[in-house]
Amino acid sequence: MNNLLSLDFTVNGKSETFTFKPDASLLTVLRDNGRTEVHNGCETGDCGSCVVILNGKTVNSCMVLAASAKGGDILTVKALGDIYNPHPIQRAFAESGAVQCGFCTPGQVLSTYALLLENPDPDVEQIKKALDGNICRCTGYKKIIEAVLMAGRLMREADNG
Amino acid sequence: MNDLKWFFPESGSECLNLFNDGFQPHAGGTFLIKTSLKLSGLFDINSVADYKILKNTDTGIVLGSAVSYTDAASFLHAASPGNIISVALSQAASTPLRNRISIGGSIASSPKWSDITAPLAASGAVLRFEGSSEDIDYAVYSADRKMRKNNLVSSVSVPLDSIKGSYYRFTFTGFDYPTFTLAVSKRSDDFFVCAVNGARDGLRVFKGNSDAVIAEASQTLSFNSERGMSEDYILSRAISELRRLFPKGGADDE
Repeated sequence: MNNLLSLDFTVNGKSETFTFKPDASLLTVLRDNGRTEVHNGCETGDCGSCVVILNGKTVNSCMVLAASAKGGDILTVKALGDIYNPHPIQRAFAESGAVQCGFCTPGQVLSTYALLLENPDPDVEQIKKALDGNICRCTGYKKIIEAVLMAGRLMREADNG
Repeated sequence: MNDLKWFFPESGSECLNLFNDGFQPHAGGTFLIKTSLKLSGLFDINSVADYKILKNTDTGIVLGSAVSYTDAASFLHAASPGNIISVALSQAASTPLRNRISIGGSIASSPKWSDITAPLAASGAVLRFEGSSEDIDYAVYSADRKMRKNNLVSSVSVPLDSIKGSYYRFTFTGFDYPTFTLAVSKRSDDFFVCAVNGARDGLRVFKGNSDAVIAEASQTLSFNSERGMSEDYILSRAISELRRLFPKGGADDE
């Protein structure tokens, strides 16, 4: 267990120092440090369950060597809201019926968040492209796309006061 | 990789020293994780400003080796909408992976499934190595394993007037490794450069008018059978798709 690294990160706005093996993935480091809202799915970059936002962009945390994210600003789904104070995207997913087993939902929500920050009023094709790295094996995607459209509306309404 | 050392250089010369000491460059890391290479050390090139460069020059667009597919596709699209490189990069993998996959990593590792290989070869891209001011033709680099192993790519330049054309990737689903990729660069009404990646002998480049390119490709291309598809099927599919690309090759309305 020698040769461990101790590096600084900002996770959901809070400064953190994590200690880990040099070949550890960001997914492993986040989960080992209590961020179990980052789900461990395929570990091959295919499913999108482990998506986090790193320095403003969605990444598969299973495909990121944690050391390479040193100093990085990381957002997990918990940064957005919780059951008592949900983010409009989380509300839209719940109200649209876009959540069934829920395993892929944190990744779907974060991909939606990244999309809507860049493009507040996406069309269906843009939504499909932005969420192309998030696989859902329950819903068939129709409800997820509806949720993203609804989330866009809710966020635009909030922005317009 | 438990004894893996990490370095975080801030200049090209530091990177070159680390490379010459036997350490490997890291930009996005997706290939490294997928392939579980045995490595003694990695140097992360994301803090090197020259490797993050995206610029439009008199001779073309320069992309630094640490630039992600997402950023490169966006920049190239703004410079020349619908060009073969931005189309190829925006179809690769998925959004979160495109945010990590780097230009330099793809060029250096040149996996068979890479979406960047064919369009770079078709467009006549040239590479710069760290510590050198010489331009190296991408197709030459791609075919030379020793050159790939011994040189640290710092940037790639693509001429703006040769990136118009068409691109095709043969996959079963959108999120899939392509069996082969095709890129056609239209240089004039009757002169095209076509690159095929994924053939039995890797990358192939054909030049001439559309009839000449299709004839030569039909006679000399071959593929390995894979995923239940015969060699003959993959070849006939490649030639059919190649024929389809020519009517659109370099069309102004792309």
